Amino acid sequence: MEYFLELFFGGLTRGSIYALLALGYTMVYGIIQLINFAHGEIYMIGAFTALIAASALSMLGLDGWSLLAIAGLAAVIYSAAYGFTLEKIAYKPLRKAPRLSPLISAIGMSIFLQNYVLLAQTSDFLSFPALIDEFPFMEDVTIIRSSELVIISVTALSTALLTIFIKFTGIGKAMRAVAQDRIMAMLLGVKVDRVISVTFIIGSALAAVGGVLISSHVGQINFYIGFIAGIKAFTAAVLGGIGSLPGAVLGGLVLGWTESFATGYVSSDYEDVFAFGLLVFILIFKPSGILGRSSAEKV
Amino acid sequence: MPIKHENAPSIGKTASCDGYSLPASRRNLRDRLPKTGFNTLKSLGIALWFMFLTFPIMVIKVSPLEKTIEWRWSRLVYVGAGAFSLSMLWRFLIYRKEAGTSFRKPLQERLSLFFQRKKAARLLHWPRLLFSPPYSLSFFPPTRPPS
Amino acid sequence: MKIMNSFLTVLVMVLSAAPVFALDTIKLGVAGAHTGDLASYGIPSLNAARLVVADRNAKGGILGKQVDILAEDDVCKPEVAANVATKLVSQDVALVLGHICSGATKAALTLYKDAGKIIMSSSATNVELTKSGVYPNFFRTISPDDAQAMLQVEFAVNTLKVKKVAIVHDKGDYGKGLAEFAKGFFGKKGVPPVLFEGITPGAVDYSAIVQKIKSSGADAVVYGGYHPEAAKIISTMKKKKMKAVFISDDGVRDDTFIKVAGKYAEGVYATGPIDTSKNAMAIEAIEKHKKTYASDPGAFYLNAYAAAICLLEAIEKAGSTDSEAISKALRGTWFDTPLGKISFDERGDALGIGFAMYQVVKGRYAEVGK
Repeated sequence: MEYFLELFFGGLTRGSIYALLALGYTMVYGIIQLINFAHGEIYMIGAFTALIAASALSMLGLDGWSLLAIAGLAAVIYSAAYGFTLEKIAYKPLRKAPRLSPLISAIGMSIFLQNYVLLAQTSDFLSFPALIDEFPFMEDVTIIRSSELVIISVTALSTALLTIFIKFTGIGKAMRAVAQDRIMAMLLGVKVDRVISVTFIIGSALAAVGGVLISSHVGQINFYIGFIAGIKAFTAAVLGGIGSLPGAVLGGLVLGWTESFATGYVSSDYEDVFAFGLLVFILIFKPSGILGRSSAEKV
Repeated sequence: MPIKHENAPSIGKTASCDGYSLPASRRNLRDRLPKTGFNTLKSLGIALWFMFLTFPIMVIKVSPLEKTIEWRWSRLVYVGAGAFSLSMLWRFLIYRKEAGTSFRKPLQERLSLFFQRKKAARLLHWPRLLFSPPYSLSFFPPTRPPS
Repeated sequence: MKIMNSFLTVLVMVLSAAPVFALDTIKLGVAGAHTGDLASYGIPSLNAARLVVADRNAKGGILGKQVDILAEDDVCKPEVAANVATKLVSQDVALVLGHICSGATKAALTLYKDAGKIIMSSSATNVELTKSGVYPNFFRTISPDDAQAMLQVEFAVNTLKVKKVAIVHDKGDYGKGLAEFAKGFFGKKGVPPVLFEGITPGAVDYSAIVQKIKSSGADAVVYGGYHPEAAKIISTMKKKKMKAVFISDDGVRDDTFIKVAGKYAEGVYATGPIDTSKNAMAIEAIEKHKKTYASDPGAFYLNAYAAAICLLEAIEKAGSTDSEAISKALRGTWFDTPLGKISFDERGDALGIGFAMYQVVKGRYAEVGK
């Protein structure tokens, strides 16, 4: 039973990170029908910024929760800035172009950002400080670690905040409107450019949060981590239904649990096989994903 | 006749006009870039934004082992300069794209006319005069370009 | 217009004449991971080659000609390595020092064999490369994996007296090869492994596999692979307060591993090339590196230094850059290198080289038992 719970929480942790990233993918797709392949790189840049901020500040003597908070804040601000700039440079000029062009642009920006960090920083694996302290009351608990608990709770909190934001604020309503019908929203006076920028900013901020948390948990980062995390998160978003926010979270959790249990009970060799096999299986029976709306094309 | 773009100001004329205007090149360029001051400011803003954006990753190099922080300020300058020039270039190209034909055609014609006038001005070029007077006479006057 | 044309013609003539000036040199190709996450394995070999070649060129070169190094980066990826091999062959290199990773070397070997080029690696330890006999043009100055696996198994069983062992690998040519050998040897010694699994390099986290190891009750983990994943696994294990011993290979016997894993690296065992710090040539080679590159040499430096020396001296011995002659020279002579006196057997493995077990003690690798 203990083994099962360990795997459960491990999968929940992994799934939470995938969920945070998948939210970014799904929001952007809902608004401008673009898969933002550079999203994984935003996550990676958030992790790097947090590392740099944390190292610089810890040398000045800062420690504990304030270090995590400030480094996390720096990561969120910078990732949001990068997401905003990315949209303005690489996606906005291509809004009227055929669907393939912004996609290629996204892939190009992904490669560009990877190499930018590689050249500006280093190709080595960098050790990431464990910013999340061990809780004293968790000393004897073995099925879950402190950092895992923090990751799960922060993800739950972020998802809740995002839902409140989308449901109850003006901009949230505007986002929903633009996702439904962009031209109509524009005609009704919604500032579409502003809404799109806000979407990117929020998505990138969530990615940064995920980046900081998982890097504290794992302990090392590298310019390449965005690639694999991005692909997994994209899979999670599609699995749960691209364009649907609860779908993104569900997809992330399902993917995390599948990987964890497959490793634990079958074999680590086949963890990816199980994860992607599940994706194919779901898509065969429900092409728009688990919670996806099979929206008919409006004439 | 090319369609006049609303932003392009009227081209000044010089004395030696021959049905087609040919102003001094320098004045022409400045006239062709309206609101340069505003553009420069905007590019400056963009340069500053990129300097802020790339600040942690490009400027700061932390080594947790040796407990040192290396500040590479020169990179900040490069980013600022690069962003500034690129954004100026970008705006110029966008302007050119939007100005359409009214920008491109005069440029070509201006260049070809320039060279023709150069040739014409060499009427009194002594080697040609020396070797073939009739040849030199054929370069005067300049012909009217096709519109 | 005409002036422009004639100018261009002259320019093209001048540029096409340039290669003519580079005729009389011997080209040594150096291929390996010079950038990317495994660059810490490839750069020391490149530095070693550069130092040896500079040394020889100062003494008059080989057979009267200067030696030129053509360095190519394969980021330890097999597909890139194949391209690199094609490039080096087309540039008419006489010999190749490389590649670094077994997978990349394997991918490039067929191309070198078809072109008849000799290649010597300082770090590719996959056994098939020599034991299969398919690549007569391949040599190496490092012991193959089965010797490494044997050492790991003997150490675990005889010295550490482990009863249950879990074997993990990274599904790559190098890691999986080592793991398979270890599994076989453990079985023969009567300690069959309780776990034999592969992980995906670059995954987000490894807590699931660590949990599986923990529940299997293994008291030792043998890991075949490179240091990034090893660092992640060991830190997860230590955080879960697992007591199991961690034994790994020469891909982890690297200071970068200690740097990244930090305090969690303490107590980790890894096999590596035998310590040659008493060897006079080795001391001189390390000094040279410190002087030229202002840092300590990294993994496989002495192996690459030895390889470069063997290659160049073999050309001298053979009297030409003909691959057949060089092969014979390599197999027939004993070379004086920082690793001691070495030669090569018919399969290409080095004679006179072995592995030793190291442990991370107080943040540095120290040879066990010395």
